Amino acid sequence: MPDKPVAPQQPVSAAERPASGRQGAAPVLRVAELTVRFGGVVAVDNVSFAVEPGVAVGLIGPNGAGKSTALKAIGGEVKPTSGAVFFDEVDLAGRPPHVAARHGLIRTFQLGGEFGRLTVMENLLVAVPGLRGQTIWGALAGKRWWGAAQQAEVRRAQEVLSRLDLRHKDNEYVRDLSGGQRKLVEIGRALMARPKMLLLDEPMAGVNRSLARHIEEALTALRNDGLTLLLVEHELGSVERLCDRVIVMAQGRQIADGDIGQLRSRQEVLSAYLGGR
Amino acid sequence: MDYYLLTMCVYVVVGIVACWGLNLQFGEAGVLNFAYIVFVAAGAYTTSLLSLGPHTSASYQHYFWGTTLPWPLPWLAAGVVGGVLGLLVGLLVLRRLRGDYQAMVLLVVSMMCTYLVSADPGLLNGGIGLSDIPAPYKNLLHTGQVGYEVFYLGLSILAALVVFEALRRLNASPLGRTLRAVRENEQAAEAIGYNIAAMKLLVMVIGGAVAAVAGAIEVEFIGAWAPAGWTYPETFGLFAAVIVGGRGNLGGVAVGAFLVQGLFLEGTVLLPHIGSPQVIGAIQWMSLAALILLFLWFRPQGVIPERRRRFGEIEAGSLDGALPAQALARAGRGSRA
Repeated sequence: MPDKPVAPQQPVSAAERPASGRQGAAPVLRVAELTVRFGGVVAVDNVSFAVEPGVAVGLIGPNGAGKSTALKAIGGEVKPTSGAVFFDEVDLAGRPPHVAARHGLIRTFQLGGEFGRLTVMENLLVAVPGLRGQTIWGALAGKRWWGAAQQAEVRRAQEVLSRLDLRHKDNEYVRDLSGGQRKLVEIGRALMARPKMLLLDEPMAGVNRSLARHIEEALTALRNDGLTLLLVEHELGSVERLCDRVIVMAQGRQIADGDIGQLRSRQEVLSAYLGGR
Repeated sequence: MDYYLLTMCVYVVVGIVACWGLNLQFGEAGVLNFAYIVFVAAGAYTTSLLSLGPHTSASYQHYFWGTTLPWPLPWLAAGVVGGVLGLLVGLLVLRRLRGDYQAMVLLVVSMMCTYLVSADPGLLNGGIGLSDIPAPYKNLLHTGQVGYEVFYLGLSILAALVVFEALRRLNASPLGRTLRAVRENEQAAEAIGYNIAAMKLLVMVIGGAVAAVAGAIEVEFIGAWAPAGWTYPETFGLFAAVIVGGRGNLGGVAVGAFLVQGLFLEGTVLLPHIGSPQVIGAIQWMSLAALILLFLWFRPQGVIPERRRRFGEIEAGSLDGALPAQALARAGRGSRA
């Protein structure tokens, strides 16, 4: 049975759409005085911000601003020199990425975040936490032990793939897909991990316009349902449509935090992006 | 001829079991265990010590401890020792080093172990090695040499079937899929919640146990074990079998073990003598290296490639027709939220 066509969503700007997120809710992520130094280079300099549940926040800035390093430090891939990363009131600063992931903080990659010689379906199933058969004794017990639980997850993965327009690719190796399709697989995989929050590192970078719009629609759908997002992205149009708020970084420092429409007119933001014009 | 064929069959079974353990580490999880032969040796020495009986002052060979246990206890104990050794080596190597450095350290570990055992004659009889290791139930069965070899081949195949079934279940399970994900992209696997060092430690333990069982089978068949038989290049012979057969595929690896361990290495023995007797050995290793290179260049997936795991056709999902936002959210909604 073929997939039913997905009605295209018309992205709207942050000003036009209703505010997402739970107003007044305690932040799900609180970054406090985060600093990352590589030798003498300060990649992230005393950055602090909070993200409320159900909110999409963009981390923007020119190349070399420290956005990706900040994202890596939050996700555990880079050890911060100082500062704290509270996720659900647990300080994850300096903890490895798998600990952050087990708390529900799932990161996607700018490049090469896929499992190339696993099929699309396997890429999604591998992210399911605590699936029966993931322990050695569960595995040795055989398919009778884990088969039914896996089948339920296969159905969930099929639904995710249908909505990402990848249902017809489920048995293909991910290495055989285009760059944009791989990014969609990564988003699908992140969803299978049952995230509380997604950290997205340039999800639309290097992707053709059509697929970039598809990725944006998928992320919009997630945001509208209340999933918390923190994304690094250079495409400011996408950031404006997708994010409730943006944090601007330049030379490792956080220089602004607010609605992108308001920030456009601020001199320090213009200077950072346009070199002082 | 029967005797020769039976001997070759046992060797091939040993090679297949050893390659299955290496396949779990290298083919499934991507761990380059260049010390793999040490685990085979650990199994062989454990079985020897548990079969030879206590060391006496009158004994012509020296070893630090010994006893006599009935089959299959020495083989099982070998598996346990191989697993524990895998844990210890894994803890040493896997936690703080990246993959390429892990491989280098493991190669060094392999060389250190060979030198250590060779250097201390009181440990495991030094470079001469242990001999006269009794075969299980040989004195009780009055079958003649060929009859006993058939019996021993049966024991070997039995052990191989147990190992095969355990590894088949593991490969087919969600755990097997996780190991393949670790092989493909450690960083991405960690980002979805897997502790990479723990996953690799697991395959070091299981693979080490399987390697040790292979060593146990081999040593009770040939009745002797010495450091010259487990130098580090032996590991590359096993790697060659896994690469040629098809990493990640148990059937392919068995074919690879048969082709490389059985036909290819044995075939070079049949070459006419050229110059010094060492030349044949050198040709053996050079041709093995060439075989690895040829497969890595022209058929890296091996003779029988890893099987693609296919899942069922489209099932009528309960969410068909739902709006993308609702559908994605429902599909992605998690127990954590």
